[in-house]
Amino acid sequence: MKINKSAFIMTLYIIFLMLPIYWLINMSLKTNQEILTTFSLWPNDLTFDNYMVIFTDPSWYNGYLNSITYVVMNMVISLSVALPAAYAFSRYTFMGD
Amino acid sequence: MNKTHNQKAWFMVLPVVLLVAFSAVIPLMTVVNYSVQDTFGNNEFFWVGLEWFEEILASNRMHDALGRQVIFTTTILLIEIPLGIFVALHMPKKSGFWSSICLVLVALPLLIPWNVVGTIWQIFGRIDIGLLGYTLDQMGIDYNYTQDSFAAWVTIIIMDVWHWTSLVVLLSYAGLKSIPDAYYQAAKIDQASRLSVFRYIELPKMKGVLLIAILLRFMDSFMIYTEPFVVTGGGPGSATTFLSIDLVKMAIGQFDLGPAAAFSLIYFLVILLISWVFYTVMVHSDKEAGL
Amino acid sequence: MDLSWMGWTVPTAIFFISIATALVIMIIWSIKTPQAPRVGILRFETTPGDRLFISLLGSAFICLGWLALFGAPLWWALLVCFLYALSVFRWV
Repeated sequence: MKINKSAFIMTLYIIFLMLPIYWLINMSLKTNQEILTTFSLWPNDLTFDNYMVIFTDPSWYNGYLNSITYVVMNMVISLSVALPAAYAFSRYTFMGD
Repeated sequence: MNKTHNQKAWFMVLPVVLLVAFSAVIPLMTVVNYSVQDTFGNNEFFWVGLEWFEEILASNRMHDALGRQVIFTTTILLIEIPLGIFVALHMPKKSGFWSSICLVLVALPLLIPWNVVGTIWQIFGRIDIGLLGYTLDQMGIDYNYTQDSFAAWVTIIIMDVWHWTSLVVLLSYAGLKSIPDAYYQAAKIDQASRLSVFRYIELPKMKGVLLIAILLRFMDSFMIYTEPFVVTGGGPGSATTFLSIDLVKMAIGQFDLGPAAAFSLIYFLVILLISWVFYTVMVHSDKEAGL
Repeated sequence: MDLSWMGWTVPTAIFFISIATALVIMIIWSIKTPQAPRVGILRFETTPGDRLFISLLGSAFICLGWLALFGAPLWWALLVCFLYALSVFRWV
């Protein structure tokens, strides 16, 4: 049998992991109407409208801008405050470390 | 590493200390204050002492939530850790094309924001439009996670396993890769069976990594909030109301700040204890490993 | 600085001030006498600061347990906590 036991188990596991993601992609290519009414393994009429909406509708892309602002600020503050402290903890011993 | 003794290092630590003091210590003191007072509204407080703590410690509602949380955490750990180790043992070991693909695909569920995970599984489990729900329905199994508490539990457990087993897989894989090949060669010379190889070589070497994985998953599953909240909102009735969901219901739903503050202090103490155990184990196993 | 938005009361103020005082005492103590980490009955190294933390954490749980089992006046619980702290400093 050329089937490698490891490969078989890994394939099963990865299929398990990918199922919800496949369903997600499936839904993203359907229209709202089709999602709520029919059940199909692949969209009956493929549509990229959903992607167009999230990139052009202000209420959606403001979310991206807010997220990016938040993450950048978070990163800058965390790094600038934590790096000196980490350096101090690793290179020096001092009272109360 | 040779460390030099230098008191001026305090200046480098000062910004962190100030930031933590401002963002953690002050709200903590406020919560302690709230937990010993009652209010009639209008920001007027009066002292009730330890009444809230007594009430919380005796309340059936909290005992139920605690029981559910313990059952949930135990089940999750019992499923995720062995499954994670099992998958890590079968991941392709040679660094090549297949191992990179496997690593990326395995890590994918970890990167998804938590309430998106909840939303995915909420739709996935619906009988009319979800793959899982539809398949189970076609197979004749009676599955409705909004009304049946067993189905709700199973859905949440599988969702958590789906989301977080990859963390255990990745950590165990890192631990396994660090075992030098000489051990395996010696085992081959001795003609050891696969099971003995696992028990005597791999498990002891992975001990540090496994400890980290177990403690991380324990803490995370103890604090779980967004995923069950999005999928079931506390479950049919209160079947999946875990500790944190109960706390938020009390604090924001009923606006009972006193009992909520007492509850959150107790919760905080438990998590603090677990984190301290985690920290001590990590620091001291590092020292034993000769760092 | 108006701190009333935090809802301060006298007992909680006393509680936090006593914790701060304990920390200050530890700092002064560590300046005065040499301290090295030593191994205790739990088989890992602890400095006096570690032992203070363990004793505070343990006394919080002792007080909670006392409340759950016996109810309000906590003065005996404080005595148990004090004895526990002494034993932690001695043996851990």
